[in-house]
Amino acid sequence: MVTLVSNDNKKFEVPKDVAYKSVLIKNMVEDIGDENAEIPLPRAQASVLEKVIDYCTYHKDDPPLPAPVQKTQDDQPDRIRRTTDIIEWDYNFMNLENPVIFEIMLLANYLDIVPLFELTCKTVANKIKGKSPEQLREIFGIENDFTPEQLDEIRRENEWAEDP
Amino acid sequence: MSRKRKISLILENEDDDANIPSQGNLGNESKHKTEEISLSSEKNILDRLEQPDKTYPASLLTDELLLKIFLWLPFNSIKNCILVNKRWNRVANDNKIWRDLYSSEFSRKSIFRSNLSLANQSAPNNAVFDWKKYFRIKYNWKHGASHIKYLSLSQDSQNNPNALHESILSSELLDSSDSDEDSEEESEEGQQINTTKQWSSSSLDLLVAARNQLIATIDHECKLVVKNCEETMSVDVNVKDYIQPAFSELIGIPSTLVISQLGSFRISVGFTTGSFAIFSLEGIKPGDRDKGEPVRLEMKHIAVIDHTQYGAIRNIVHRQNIIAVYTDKSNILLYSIADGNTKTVSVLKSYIDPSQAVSFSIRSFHYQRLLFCISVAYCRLALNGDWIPYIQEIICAPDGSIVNTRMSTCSSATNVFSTPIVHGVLPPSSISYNHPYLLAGFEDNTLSYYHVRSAECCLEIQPKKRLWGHMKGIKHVSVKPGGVAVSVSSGFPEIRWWELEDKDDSTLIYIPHENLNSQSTNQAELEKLPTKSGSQEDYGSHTESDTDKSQGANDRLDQPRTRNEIIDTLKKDSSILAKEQQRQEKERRKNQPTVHVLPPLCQTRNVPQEIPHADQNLLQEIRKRNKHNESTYFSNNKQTGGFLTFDDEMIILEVLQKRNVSTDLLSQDNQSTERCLLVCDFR
Repeated sequence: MVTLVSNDNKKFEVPKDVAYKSVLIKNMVEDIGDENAEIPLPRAQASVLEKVIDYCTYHKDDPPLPAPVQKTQDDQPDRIRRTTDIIEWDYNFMNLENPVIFEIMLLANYLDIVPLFELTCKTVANKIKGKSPEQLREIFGIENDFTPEQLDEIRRENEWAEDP
Repeated sequence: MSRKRKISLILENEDDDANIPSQGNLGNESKHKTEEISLSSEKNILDRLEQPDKTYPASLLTDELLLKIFLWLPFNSIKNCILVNKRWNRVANDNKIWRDLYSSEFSRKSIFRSNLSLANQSAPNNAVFDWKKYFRIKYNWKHGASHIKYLSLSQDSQNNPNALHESILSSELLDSSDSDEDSEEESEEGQQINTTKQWSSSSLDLLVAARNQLIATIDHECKLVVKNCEETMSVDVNVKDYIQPAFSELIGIPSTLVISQLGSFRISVGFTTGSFAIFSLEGIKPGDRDKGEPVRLEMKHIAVIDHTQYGAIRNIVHRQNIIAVYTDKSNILLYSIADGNTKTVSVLKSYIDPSQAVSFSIRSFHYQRLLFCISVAYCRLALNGDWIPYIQEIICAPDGSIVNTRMSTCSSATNVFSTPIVHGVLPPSSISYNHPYLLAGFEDNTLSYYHVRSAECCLEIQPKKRLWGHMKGIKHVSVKPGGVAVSVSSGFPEIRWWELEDKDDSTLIYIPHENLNSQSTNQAELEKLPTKSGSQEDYGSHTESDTDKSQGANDRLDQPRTRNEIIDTLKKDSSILAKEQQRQEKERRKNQPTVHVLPPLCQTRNVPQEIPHADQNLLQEIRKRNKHNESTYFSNNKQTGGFLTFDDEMIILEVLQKRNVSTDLLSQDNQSTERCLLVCDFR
């Protein structure tokens, strides 16, 4: 059992194999050398951490991700990126408001839980897909900080990308 | 379940947050708990959003994370993200994204890798390789979308030499109604003050070559001009300036112009007498510019030879100290240029019909880097009426001595192509070999694609595919490394772009109607043009919709049907044509029995030969010869009109004589003509 402590001082006791889904926690525990030590996670909010633990619990028996083909060159594009291969549980799990998803994404990135991080990326990517710029601004609550002239210029620059 | 309960218990015990109520009902516990927590967490985040620096949820994400999300997006979404706001625009324009998009949209590992190496090559000193730019070019190729440009070639200074006459006719905007309107305007309001363009076939007294945005031209007077497409750089030399006046008659007139890239750009000029000159373009590397080195043409090598008996030089290739030329009389001459002296190493005589299309190339031999391989690819007629390809390789040592020659062919390809051979008996109009791709274009609207295997122990040609798609006889074909090919039909400038490694789909490149008015096509063809072009456009849109569909996986079923339909109609067309061809050929055969022998290229002589002295008699004789040549030579080159060359970013179509007719009443007589290059620019 590993005990995780969130920034608001809540304690979560989780089995080792669940906690070890996070590379960060795994490294920390191994560094400390005491499997029962409390791991402080000052960047983790209790409510978000709870969701992350849910995910890790469900996926604790997953095989590790296949290593990228060529890790030598950092920005070598690895496998084909598909955003549709999300299993049902994950899909339901991600049925959340955008801010929560972003929080989970941040935490997954911080804790270095690659599959969860990719899941959040895919989920957000799926929300972006097929949307017009106006729709995107609405969905993500973004203000358009372009002047009309700037927007026109960008449109012109990217004119080639419109379907001929 | 038990773990969950444990967590909740911990929460209940140690949590002083009122937002999480304790649960009495154990059965519903975990489910409720999740909902409560997600609600509460949303509330928390919303509270945080009230802070001034968190104006919208997406700003929770750093640019880095936004980038990670964008990496999952396809091109269609990225182009929308660019327009959302400044931050998204910045992130979505990241080079990494476009590099990923490039590899996923045009996913061909081999090509991607070759581009990676290209990226490493062309981006030294940590300069950034602009993936978006390359994506854009590739995308435009794929969609056949190009800007049509007219590059002025006029060399008279009073004729505004550096002005780029560019009329960007975005091809998709130009439909038939547009051009109709234009012509109506012209006829009804002839008095209107505007400038209309008219085209007439150029006299083609100019040889043109292009490579990587460099365009080289040479005229009768041996004035060589090299400029780039932006016209920001232009250098010229006169080849005759490098020759002693006594010899200048010997050189004849230019018969071929080739740009090659071996570290630096090399411009080779071949002449009707068999003389040749090689220039190197210096000062265009980024480093040179910093050093203040001027862009200039440096003479690398020049040889004034009288080899008129072998015919004018048709093609010229070189590597290190070897120069090989292919002449109009189907001879191959090998020269060694060590120590600045030109030595004729060997003269090879072939029995290839000089009028036939031949592809002549040189490359380093892959298994033995020191050796060079000069290849000649051509077609011969087999007894079953099929044209089959031949490749002959001459392997030579760095000093030009021939190590080995070998040749190969393949059996009739009928079985492999699985379609009836309808080539008839017309020889291929064009053949292009760029190891390992061999393409031959035929008058029956098809191309044959062969794959060549050249190893130490064997040389093999394997028939791969018949390429369908053209609506008229193929006039020209050219294949580049990586299996990218461009083919052009006769009469109607229908251009297709092929990716041989990918699939047998091709892209039709749109040429706006205005350009069809070039009178290089004969009158009969011109009359046919409107209907022909109509069907052409239809077919173009057909393929276009096909590719659209293939993007949506659900509609994939539709694709084969439409494609097959197209192929069927094409086959029908082709078979009619073939019958006609066979009939014609039968008539021809009655008069002229043909015997087909397949002699290999054989080495007839091995004559190290000195450059002849310029004595008066010889000069006079050459003068006579040149006069005779002069009238015929450039007109021969008309064969190349319609398609000249292509590189990564553009296709150079033909040299046109552009007549600017000003209908302004005050200057009615004012007509200026200038030579232009018709260029399809994919940038």
